[in-house]
Amino acid sequence: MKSLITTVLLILLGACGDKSASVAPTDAVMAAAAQEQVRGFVFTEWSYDIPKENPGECPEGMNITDEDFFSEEYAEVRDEVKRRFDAGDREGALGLLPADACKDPSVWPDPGHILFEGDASVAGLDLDGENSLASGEGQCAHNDFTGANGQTGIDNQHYRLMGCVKGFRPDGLFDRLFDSNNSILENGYATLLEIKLVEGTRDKGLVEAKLFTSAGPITKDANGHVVPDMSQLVHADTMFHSAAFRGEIKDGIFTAGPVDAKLKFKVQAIDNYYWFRDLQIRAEMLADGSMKGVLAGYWDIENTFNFLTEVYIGPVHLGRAAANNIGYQCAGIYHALPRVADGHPDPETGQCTSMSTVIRFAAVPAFIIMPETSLQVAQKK
Amino acid sequence: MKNSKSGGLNRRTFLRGTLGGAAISVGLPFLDIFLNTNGNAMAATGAPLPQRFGTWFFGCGMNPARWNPSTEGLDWELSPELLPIAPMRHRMNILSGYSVLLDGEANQVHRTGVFGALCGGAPKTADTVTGPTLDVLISDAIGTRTRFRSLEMAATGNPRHSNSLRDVSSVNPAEPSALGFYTRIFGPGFSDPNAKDFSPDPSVLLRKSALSIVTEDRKRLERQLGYSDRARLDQYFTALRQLEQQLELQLQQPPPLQACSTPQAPVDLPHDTEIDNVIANHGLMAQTLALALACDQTRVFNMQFSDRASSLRMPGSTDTHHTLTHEEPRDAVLGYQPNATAFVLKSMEAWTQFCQTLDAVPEGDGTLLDNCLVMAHSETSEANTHSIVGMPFMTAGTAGGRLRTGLHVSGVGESVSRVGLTMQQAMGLNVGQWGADQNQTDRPISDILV
Amino acid sequence: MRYMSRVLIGASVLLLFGCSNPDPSATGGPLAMRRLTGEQYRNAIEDTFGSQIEVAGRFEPDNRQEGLNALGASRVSVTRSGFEQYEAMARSIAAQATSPELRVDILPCEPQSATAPDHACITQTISELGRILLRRPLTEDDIGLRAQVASRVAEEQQDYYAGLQLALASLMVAPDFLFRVEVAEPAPLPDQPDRLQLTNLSLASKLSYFLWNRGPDETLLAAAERGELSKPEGLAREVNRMVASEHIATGISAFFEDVFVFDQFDALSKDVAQYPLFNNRMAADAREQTLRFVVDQLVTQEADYRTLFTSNQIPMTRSLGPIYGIPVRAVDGWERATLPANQSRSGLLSHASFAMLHSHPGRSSPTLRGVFMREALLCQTVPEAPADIDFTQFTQDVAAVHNTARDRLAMHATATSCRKCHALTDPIGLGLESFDGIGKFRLAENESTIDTSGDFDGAAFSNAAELGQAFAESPLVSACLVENLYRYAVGRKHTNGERRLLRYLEDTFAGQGYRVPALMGDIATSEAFRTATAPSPQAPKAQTVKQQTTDIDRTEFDDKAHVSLIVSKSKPT
Repeated sequence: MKSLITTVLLILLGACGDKSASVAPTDAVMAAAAQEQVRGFVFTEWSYDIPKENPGECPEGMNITDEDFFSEEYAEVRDEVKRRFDAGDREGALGLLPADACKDPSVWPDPGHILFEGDASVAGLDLDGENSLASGEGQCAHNDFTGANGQTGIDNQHYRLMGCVKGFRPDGLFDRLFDSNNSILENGYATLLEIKLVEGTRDKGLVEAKLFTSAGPITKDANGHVVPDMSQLVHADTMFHSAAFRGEIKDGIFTAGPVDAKLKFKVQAIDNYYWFRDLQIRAEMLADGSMKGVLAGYWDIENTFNFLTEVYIGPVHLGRAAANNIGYQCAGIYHALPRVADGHPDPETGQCTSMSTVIRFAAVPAFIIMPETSLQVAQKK
Repeated sequence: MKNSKSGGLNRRTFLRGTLGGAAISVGLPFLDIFLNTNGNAMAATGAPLPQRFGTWFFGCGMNPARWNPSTEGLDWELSPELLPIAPMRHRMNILSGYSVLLDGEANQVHRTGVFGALCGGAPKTADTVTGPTLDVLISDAIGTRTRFRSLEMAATGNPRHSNSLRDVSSVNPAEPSALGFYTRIFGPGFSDPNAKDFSPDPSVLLRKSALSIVTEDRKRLERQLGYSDRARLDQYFTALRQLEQQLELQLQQPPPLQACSTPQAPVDLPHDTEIDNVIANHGLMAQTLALALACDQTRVFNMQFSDRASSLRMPGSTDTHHTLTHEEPRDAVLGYQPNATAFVLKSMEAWTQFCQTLDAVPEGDGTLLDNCLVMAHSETSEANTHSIVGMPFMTAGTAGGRLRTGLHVSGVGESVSRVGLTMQQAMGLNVGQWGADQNQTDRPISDILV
Repeated sequence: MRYMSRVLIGASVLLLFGCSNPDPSATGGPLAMRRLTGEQYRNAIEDTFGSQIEVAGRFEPDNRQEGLNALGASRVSVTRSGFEQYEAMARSIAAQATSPELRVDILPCEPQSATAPDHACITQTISELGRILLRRPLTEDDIGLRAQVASRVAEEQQDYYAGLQLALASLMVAPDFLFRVEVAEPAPLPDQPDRLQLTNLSLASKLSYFLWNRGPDETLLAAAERGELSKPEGLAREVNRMVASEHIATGISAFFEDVFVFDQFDALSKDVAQYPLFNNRMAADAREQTLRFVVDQLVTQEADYRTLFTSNQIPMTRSLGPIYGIPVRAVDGWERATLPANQSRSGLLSHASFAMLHSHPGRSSPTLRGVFMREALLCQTVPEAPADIDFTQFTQDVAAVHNTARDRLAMHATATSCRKCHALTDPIGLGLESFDGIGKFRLAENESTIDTSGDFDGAAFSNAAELGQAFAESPLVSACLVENLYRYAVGRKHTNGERRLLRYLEDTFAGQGYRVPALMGDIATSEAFRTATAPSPQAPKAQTVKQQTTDIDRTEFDDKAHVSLIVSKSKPT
């Protein structure tokens, strides 16, 4: 009975597979966790800052989309496009439309993207340590913001870029996505933060922190909230492990940075990563063990354009569809990015290559498992 | 359960209207003596009436805050977006809160929601699904002996608007026009089901033989057993005999289909995505479908009222339902997108009309709807964010008494595969577990299963 | 090391059997045929056709009698819808087994032509596969009729495999497949004219279902066919082999699954508002965690049974990490973990499985946990609540006054009609209150500190770990295990005549270090296990088939090892 022998062998092998877990449970992860020298966190909220209370004005109006800009051309081909789509000829249908700058920004000149020039109560940090003005020196001169709590010198050029885009206004598409916590709940990856106590105590001390992308998604409970105290495996690719960076916990506030971090993001049609340079963190440590605050840093502008436009479902490129939905033109954004960039000037040309950006976040305790200490036990569940 | 009044269409008008210009022989007059004491079968042979399953699809979901009823159970309160179904609420169930669990898979917009529900798993790539759709599984079980294994219809008039597939390379195309649909069924290929020669299903004969082999063992076993064990053995053989009798029935000529009558051909309406045309097309197709079911031409059907990423338009407008869900701002006072939401209400009205059309055909002691199970669903809950959390599901009909109705059940945190498993079990499929990976389940929604 | 101890166990079995201190002679109780459980059905299909066959279908629910499904198996039959399921499953399995992809691995021979009958091959196939399914060699009649019908079908349909499918399906709906029929021969003694002895084949089935929860394997079947189980050495050798085998883990797991009432997991649901963390996957993992723990302790570690209540080792999987608040390294599967030190957890009583199973959907229940501990772990009876209680005084909306479960149960500890039963359950149930309705540790409920101290039949404890220790030290616990294991093995209540045997088994159990596999060997080789009394040919006096353990008056058992509970039910007024 060949199959019986196979069955018995499978049972034995299964039992042996189990026994590979007979490593002593006291290793660095466990011991450190037990002594609470190392604390892990998993992000439970992630959103751009859309200042609902005071988003500011756009006196020149909102940005338009390709559909608006090319409205005549679209009207001419609309019926034929639809006919081809209905017949399943997607390529043929798209071929009738005006050239897609989201695929190749060189096909169109700058159509003119409306930046946000005014005041708004944005969140963020004073990244460059000064109250900058657009009239200041150098190519990267820009106007800082004053925050909702009166804090001056806030660098948030991302809002200058997106503040007059319909989807970025209160109750726009991004606002609604963030309200439903879409960037966490549908994300194929989680962002992890590890804080190691170096000196002092948990509540008042110096720490060393690291940011990671996880190997897989978060675990949700029935109400759609992130489960705290879950063990999260870190992504195997060290590109998504930041270097260790210094920080401090004092009076219930955690501050840390600067650090460069690449963090993966996979939601709906996006499968990409953020590249933040000189990222800083400032968050409130709450009584229940969670934290809430902002990440503020310089988003590499080439990465920004790539993040916005490399949007696919299967082989179907949806960069323009996304741009139309959100309310901008890819050609416009492409040419606007260097204008708003305020960080990391190119040594030769002086052109800034990154843009100050703010991410609101919250996080709850989690156990961070590094790949080398994890058990890849490929057992049947 | 007789339901002679169903929103404007009552039984008499229906019969009068359709018996009018029939070219082919009409069914026999309906006589009560053919019913057995339960009123749901034909007394002569005791054979039960055929049961049918169908899906009814509407695109771009709803607004959860306004669609989900706030209370559960039988006396659930009608929510704003469910008001149109009021006349039929007791023949329906509302299943809210069920989600496609992603667990790291991408939410392929307008795709993961619907194929998650129909196939029981989150598709891993844009060109795959995790299994055949639910209607295909059911038609494999109950649809192999009817003229059509299943019938697909698209009220939008586009044959590509179909979610019924065995795999991505074999999608069942939909009938785009009401006249074309009618011709396909009642046109030249139609033969009076009541005049057909009957040939018994050979697989049923085999099953009966297997059981009769076992019956030979009875005396030998009885001798070995004590009193109480003999009684238990009796119960076992009684159960066996009951199955044998069921199989015997299937080997006999089925009774005439009392409800079958041939309709007049409908007019050929324009079929496109303008909503008034869609509603008209939908109404005509529903009527033809009802009689196709009554004449046992098929037992599985799929109706698409609107397609995934609904391309429906209001008269005179070029903005599709889908575009509005993304671009129309929320009204500050109302709290929702008024133009986009108008389509939700139209969809609910059309669903109600669909069920009423099935309900207008008398069958057995009740109506055709009693012997159907129709599942209404969409590819998203909140279309604006492509949410696949808490997607809308509704059922209508009782599948011959196997389903309770009139309930609202909330499945917050649970997978949509529980709905699909329940549908399959209600249609008599021998399936204990369904779905893929994190969406796999072995728990039907017992609240609605009898 | 492991091999040596297995040999020692085997030797001790042999010693006990052939030596000067044999088990007290006892004759087993009445014969009863037992319906296969779902798990046993699946094992039978796997043993016959291999693991590639998918068994899809729903099994009729088991029937729990006096705390064990194993006893209910002797009372249930098959309903109409149950039979339909069996018939559908049989067809599906037969179709898979004869499918072109799998038939090469599964069937013992190939027909000369696939489109014609082949008498020799079909006879061989029916005979070989039928022997494993029906757990006995098939008779001429068994084979002949099936081969005949199958050949006729093969001829009519020009398909050998269509005929074979029919024959195989008929085997899988046969009553002697679905039921384990016990056959016995007269073996009278001067004072016991009704005494019977199980045939070798019936004994083989009884042994393998007890020890391995599946039908006899080839070795055991062959030994039974040769009549070797009638001889003491033959029986001992087989029992020895089976106890030392890896499959003993399956048998032990099935037993504890029954005792722990784990079939309740199927219907377990929690209020998502209170316990959003809970889902059915987690519940299934919690169930598996406890069973893995038991097997790990009793089989892999060969530990003393009582350490089940004191061990701080626990198998852990990722989904359960948040409940215990510990990191889990394994991405998939299970790893050994240590219970966290600061949650006073140790042993079974602090497992998430018990906590979530014996709780209400929205809160914990000391009473339900206490009832479980008394009935399943101590073999004591807790009567049902009287019918006339006014429950409105206990509703949850008085949380402002009654913050913790202890507060809510205070009235049960004082009211006359409540306190006798609640005194049994609540003090020990309250010891587990630091684990909420899904087993998560908490220090307070509704902002009031939880007091987990109490008294277990005279032994004081201050938390769950100490309660576990008290259980480990209680003689009732091991006595109850012996009683449960015995009843499980024989599928019925023990008779008066078997009480002495039970006492003997308890003493031996203690003497050899409370090792459960050895205890199972002792039961399997006892005289009572292989003998029986004739079943009554007449209708017995009216029996009420009971679903729960609650109503049985056990006061007749006044042995030292059993506490008699003389608790009178309040009469409704």
